[in-house]
Amino acid sequence: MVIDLKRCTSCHSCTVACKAEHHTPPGVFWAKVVRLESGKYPTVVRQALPLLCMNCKEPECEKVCPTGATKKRPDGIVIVDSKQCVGCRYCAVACPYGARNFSSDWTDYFTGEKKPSSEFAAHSKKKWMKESDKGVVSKCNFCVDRVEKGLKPACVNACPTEARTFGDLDDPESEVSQLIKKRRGMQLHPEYGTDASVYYLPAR
Amino acid sequence: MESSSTSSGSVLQFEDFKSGPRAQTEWGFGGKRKWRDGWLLMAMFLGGIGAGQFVVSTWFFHSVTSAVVGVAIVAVGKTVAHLLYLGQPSRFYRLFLKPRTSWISRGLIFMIVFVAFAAAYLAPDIGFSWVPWTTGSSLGQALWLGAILSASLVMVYDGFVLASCKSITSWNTALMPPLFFTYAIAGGVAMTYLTVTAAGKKILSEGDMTTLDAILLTTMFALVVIYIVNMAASTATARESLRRLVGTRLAVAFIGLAIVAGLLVPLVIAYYRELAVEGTVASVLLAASCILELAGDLSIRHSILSAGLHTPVFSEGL
Amino acid sequence: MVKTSCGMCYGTCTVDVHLEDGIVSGIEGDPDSPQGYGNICAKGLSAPMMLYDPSRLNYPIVRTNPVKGIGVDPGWKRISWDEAMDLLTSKLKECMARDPRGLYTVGSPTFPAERAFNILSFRKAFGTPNYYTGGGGLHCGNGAHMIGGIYHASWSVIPDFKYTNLAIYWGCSKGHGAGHAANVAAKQAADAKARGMRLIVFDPFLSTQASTAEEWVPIKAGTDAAAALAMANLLVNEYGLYDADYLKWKTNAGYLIGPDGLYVRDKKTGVPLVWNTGTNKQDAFNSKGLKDMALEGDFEVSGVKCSPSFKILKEHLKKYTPQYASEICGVPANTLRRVAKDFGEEAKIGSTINIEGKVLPYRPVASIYFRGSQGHYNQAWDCMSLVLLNHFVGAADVPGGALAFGPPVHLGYPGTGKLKYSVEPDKDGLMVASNWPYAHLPYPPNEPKDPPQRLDLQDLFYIPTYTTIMAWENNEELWQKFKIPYRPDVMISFATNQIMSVGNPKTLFENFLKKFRFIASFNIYSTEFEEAAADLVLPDASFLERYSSATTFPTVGVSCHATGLGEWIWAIRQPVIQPMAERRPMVDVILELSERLGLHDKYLEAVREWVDRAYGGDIDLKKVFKPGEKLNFERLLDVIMKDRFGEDKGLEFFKEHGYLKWDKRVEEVYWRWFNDVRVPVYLEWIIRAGRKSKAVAEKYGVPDLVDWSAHTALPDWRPCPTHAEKDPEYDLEGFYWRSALHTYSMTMQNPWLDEVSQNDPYTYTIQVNAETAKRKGVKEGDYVWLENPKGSKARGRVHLTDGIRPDHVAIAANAGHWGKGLPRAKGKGVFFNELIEIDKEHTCPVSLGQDICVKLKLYKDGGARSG
Ligand SMILES: Nc1nc2c(c(=O)[nH]1)N[C@H]1C(S)=C(S)[C@@H](COP(=O)(O)OP(=O)(O)OC[C@H]3O[C@@H](n4cnc5c(=O)[nH]c(N)nc54)[C@H](O)[C@@H]3O)O[C@H]1N2
Ligand SMILES: Nc1nc2c(c(=O)[nH]1)N[C@H]1C(S)=C(S)[C@@H](COP(=O)(O)OP(=O)(O)OC[C@H]3O[C@@H](n4cnc5c(=O)[nH]c(N)nc54)[C@H](O)[C@@H]3O)O[C@H]1N2
Ligand code: SF4
Ligand code: SF4
Ligand code: SF4
Ligand code: SF4
Ligand code: SF4
Ligand SMILES: [Mo]
Repeated sequence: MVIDLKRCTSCHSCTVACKAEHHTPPGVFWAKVVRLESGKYPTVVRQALPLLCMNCKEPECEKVCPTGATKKRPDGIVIVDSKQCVGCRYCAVACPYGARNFSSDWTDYFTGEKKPSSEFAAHSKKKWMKESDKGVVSKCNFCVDRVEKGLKPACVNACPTEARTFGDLDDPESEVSQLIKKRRGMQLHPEYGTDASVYYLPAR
Repeated sequence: MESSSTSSGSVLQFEDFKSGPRAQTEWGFGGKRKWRDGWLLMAMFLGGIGAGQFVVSTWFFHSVTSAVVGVAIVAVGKTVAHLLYLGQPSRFYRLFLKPRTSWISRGLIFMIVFVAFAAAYLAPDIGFSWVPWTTGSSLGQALWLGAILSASLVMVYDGFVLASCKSITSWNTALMPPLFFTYAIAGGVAMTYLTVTAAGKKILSEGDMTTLDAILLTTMFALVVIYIVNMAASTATARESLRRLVGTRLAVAFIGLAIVAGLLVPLVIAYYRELAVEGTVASVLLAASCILELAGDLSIRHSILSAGLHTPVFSEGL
Repeated sequence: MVKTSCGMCYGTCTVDVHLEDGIVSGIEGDPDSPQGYGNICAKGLSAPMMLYDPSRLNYPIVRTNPVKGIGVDPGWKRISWDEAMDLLTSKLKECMARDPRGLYTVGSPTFPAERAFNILSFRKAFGTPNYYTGGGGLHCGNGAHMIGGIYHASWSVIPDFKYTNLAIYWGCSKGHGAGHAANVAAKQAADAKARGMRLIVFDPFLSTQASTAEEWVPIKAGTDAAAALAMANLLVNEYGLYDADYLKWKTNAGYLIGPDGLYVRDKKTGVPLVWNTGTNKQDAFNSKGLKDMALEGDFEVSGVKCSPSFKILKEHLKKYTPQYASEICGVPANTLRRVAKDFGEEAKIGSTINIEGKVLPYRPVASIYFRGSQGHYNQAWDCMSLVLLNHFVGAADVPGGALAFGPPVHLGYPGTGKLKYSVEPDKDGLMVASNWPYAHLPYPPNEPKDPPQRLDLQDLFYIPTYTTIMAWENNEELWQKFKIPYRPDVMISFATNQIMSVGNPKTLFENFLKKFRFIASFNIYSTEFEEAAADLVLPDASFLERYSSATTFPTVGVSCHATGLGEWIWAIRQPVIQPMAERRPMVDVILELSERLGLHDKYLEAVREWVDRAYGGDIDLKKVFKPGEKLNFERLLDVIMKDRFGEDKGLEFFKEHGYLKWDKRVEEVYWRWFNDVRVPVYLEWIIRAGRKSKAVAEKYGVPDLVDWSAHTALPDWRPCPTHAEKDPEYDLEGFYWRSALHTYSMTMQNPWLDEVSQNDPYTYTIQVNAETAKRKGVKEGDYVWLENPKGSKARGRVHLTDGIRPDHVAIAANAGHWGKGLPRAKGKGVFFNELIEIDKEHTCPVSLGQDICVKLKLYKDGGARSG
């Protein structure tokens, strides 16, 4: 994935799109946006930085995972098998990008409240349990279900400024590869050797 | 450390959404789920002091009771603490599956091996006289050696677990394993003394113990000082870790408990024990010192965990 | 999957709503629709959480506690719809018998289509002139819409993202998920920036738009006019960078002005005169032989000394030296110079561009304003000054310039030629809009009613849509003086939380809301307004549970259509699921009320009038509806759509496709070039109109109702009351801004948006400059009070930033709820509006809009500190 920081406006649609797609419970954010500020008034710069799992080619999380629940698929997507994860959270501590979330239990945004939220809550729970579980760690999976159906990941699909582009990094002709080449796309923390699959195009 | 309550009124940002150095909030007391996350710290602590106790009591003080307690702390205490921490405890067996890359798998295998060796070694002395060896026999000695080796690995692996986290600069240092190792041994000394004393016995050579303790404490103090100097000279994130260690509420644990109470006071006691009044007063002092050391041990682990800050995702200068 | 229009803000993006087992399982943008380009914002994505919120109203409720007031428990009691309708009908009948003008209708800015069909049409049918648009009426746009209307026959202005090379934003969000056409403009702006469009943002706060701009110019709130007039001065008096041709042929810059400040007219025809430089004689501005005219010089016509209005304007601007302006607005004089020069040069005056075979002027610069710069005492002239920059360089509704937001020209749907409206010149050559959503046009000026009929005295004035007067402390005295025989009686409020959004809630309640005998409100929650003031609350169906006629038309007044070339779209809103529980679409309820009150025919007539003006072209509904046929909204929609788009494009078509789109034409987008209309750089007619209003006010013994001296022809900067604040304790200027995460006050209850907001450092906090905070001993996360000189207070957590002027504090959205009906929203964020005064001093004397800036002192709260 490529995220163009010049286009991004920190609108948090990606944050919510991911929530809406995966019905992540409260406190769990697979996608998020942090804001950075640097400089002194009046020469100050504020930059939004959307984050998600970098789906690293050399994932730290996978290395440290004692159970093998974290796996790298042949297509490069790093996934957590929620049936194998024990919830030790080593991956969460080791991931340099804060991409991993632990949720001890399923909770609903309208917890303990009445209809009609209960129907929606049941729906949410069903959706969430299909992808994850309680007591385990979860993270962005590049919307693997959507991608397999030929759809764009939910956050890419939503982004109002079309700052996010999804594609095949291994194909030098793909839009993402071209963007990275032309706009000097960069990875976060290249020094850790994670070889992140999310590239950022500089804002300035 | 900043809390992340979502209750109305006192709303604050989750660490995850912050730019700048970001605290790891999964391990240690006061993490995301507050107290429950502390069980991992307990597991590390118990593993360290238990294994240390075994080593110290079998090597230097020859106390079977204490050795047994040490093994039990590891076998029961550490295991239970781990299980309490896990999100899916029923799948705990999966923790052993990836020793090739994961220090947790390795550590836990060390733990099993240690418990096995140690139990086998101690078996003849704890009522299983039918086993075909005695503690003194060469087979027994081999078992002991195995236990000592695996205990050392149990004591040291926590250090590797932390040191292998690349983005947490205050952990990602070669100091971690020796630091954890020394602390485990010192904890072992303290536990041995306390166990033996509690059992109503007298430590055979209190003098030796104090000397050993003094050496360990001095080493630990030196390591902690190097650790601090290291952080101060390292990246901004490490400096921020240091700032949190000395300049926030965490300083109570780090400076107050870990350094002053857990290191300096016991050091003073160790060096001036001879000057202290005779007999029980000295023993009480020693016991107090041991308890302080243990508290210091727990505190330093807690401090290190809590001050574990990830380098900002957007490294400075980008 | 159901295609409909999002209703979480007035952007109305076309969305595909997915259902799973009858549950709304997902919402995404429709990739083929120009209304959102397939993208969707955080608010739209969160719609299910509003649909299924257990705090939603499911049944009609009535107040049992006879006491009303802010913070009073209304003691809601559930009643049946029959009871509710009987109650409301009887109250309305009583009101009708007393005086139908006692009915006040209040509508939402978020749902203009629903509002128009029901609140506006019902109001007309009932026979009352009284209404306003929630908080929006007073905050949004009195000044901005006035100037937008006069200069662009439109609500607002927006850059031609496709061609603009340099845009200057004066306190507005255009292109980042808030503001007008939020989602659409976000994509357009991103494309523009990728193309190389530069953006300079004048804003006291490093807002989202400023943080994505090339340059942020921290300006003091309420001083934009001073900065803009200095830039205008530089352009015309120093750099000579102005488009003389545009000024001559597209404005009244050449019109001769006499010593009385009015046009010099032809004695016989009354036509304004210009100085023909060919013949060296006066000439009618529209005379056939006129080849060129003077923009400067002094002349004499029939013994009257006169000069072109441009000359007067030019002279007038001279006092706005960069130095003088700089002292007012806090922007270095050199910055003003640099930006003015940049703007003038980048305008490429004289250049042209060929688009689809048509050669048009190319002026790739745009000076764009909205809420921020307009929310002040001087708002009419603030906006005028800002828009003038475009008109000096000819960058108005031509490629690259400032475009009318929602073009006022549509040449008809190609299939039928209907849905047609345009602009026309009046006898003075000035532009008259035909598509305008409100009771009177922006131009020509409304004749003042003598005596005024409306409780806010709007009809005494010539321009405003609403005024703040209905809530002034002396309103009773004014009503008596103006001999208004009736008083507030029944209010019907739709989708607005007036208590939070209009201004100081205590003032509004005490001076106005309290005076009603009966207030009925359509809402989906019981908010602070319902709790404080409503007697009856009717549970509306929300946007996923109901129909709406046209969410994107009229283009003027429905703030969503994409700007520039592209496609037109007529989209509807339709129920994705049936209304849950006993929720009922307000639309249907109003139709039933009309029947019950015997207003069937009058209602249809009112709808016809609306459709005629807003949807361009007549339709005689009474002929279509069989006598005795009950009013029915779906049927109404079907009729209107078939009439506009053809027999095969009735409601069924729209239910299936969600929308209909067709290409825009160059003549529609860059309409100014194709229509012989002029705009006034010199607002001569305001002098005349102002005098008339003043005369009526004097007649009724209220000569100083407002400061009539502001009703002049030339723009000026006038200070807000805050600028005159003497007490040094009140050293911070406060204002609000829009977060992309929220729509006014209605979204803090949404758990997803709320949670994200909590995790965003700006949304729920008070933004204070780091140095200022240090000086005041305030740290990040501290709770502080903001207090205005009258002692009104707001409490909130502080976020320190370098991205704000040291003498200002900023607050996002309209948060800080306290209502019981919004449990999740309660206590989140900061409630700003209590700090705003609703009185004469804080009302623009020309547009009668609300001044929302306020001087504050900031001090630490003794209570909780966290973090
Ligand atoms: N502090 C502050 N004040 C402001 C503003 C600001 O940004 N900050 N903005 C100002 C401006 S420009 C404007 S336009 C106004 C807006 O002011 P309002 O129009 O009063 O907006 P809200 O306060 O959000 O109230 C909208 C109400 O509509 C209800 N609602 C939502 N959907 C539906 C529906 O489908 N049917 C019905 N019946 N009700 C529904 C919500 O529950 C909410 O109570 O606020 C003005 N005041
Ligand atoms: N997400 C979202 N979108 C919305 C709405 C919403 O509530 N949420 N509301 C809709 C409505 S009703 C409206 S009216 C529009 C309004 O849309 P805009 O007019 O674009 O209003 P804001 O986004 O509040 O932007 C105002 C900006 O002006 C700045 N400002 C404040 N005072 C001054 C000043 O004196 N001078 C200058 N130069 N700047 C100043 C503020 O910091 C802020 O950045 O947005 C519409 N779109
Ligand atoms: S949705 Fe797009 S523009 Fe919005 S924050 Fe995410 S990446 Fe940025
Ligand atoms: S970003 Fe973190 S969680 Fe994702 S693959 Fe890389 S290391 Fe693993
Ligand atoms: S929490 Fe789960 S995925 Fe993460 S390291 Fe432990 S077992 Fe692996
Ligand atoms: S790719 Fe999918 S899972 Fe990952 S952040 Fe985007 S929406 Fe969430
Ligand atoms: S911009 Fe407005 S209409 Fe469009 S998706 Fe967002 S909330 Fe809905
Ligand atoms: Mo508005």
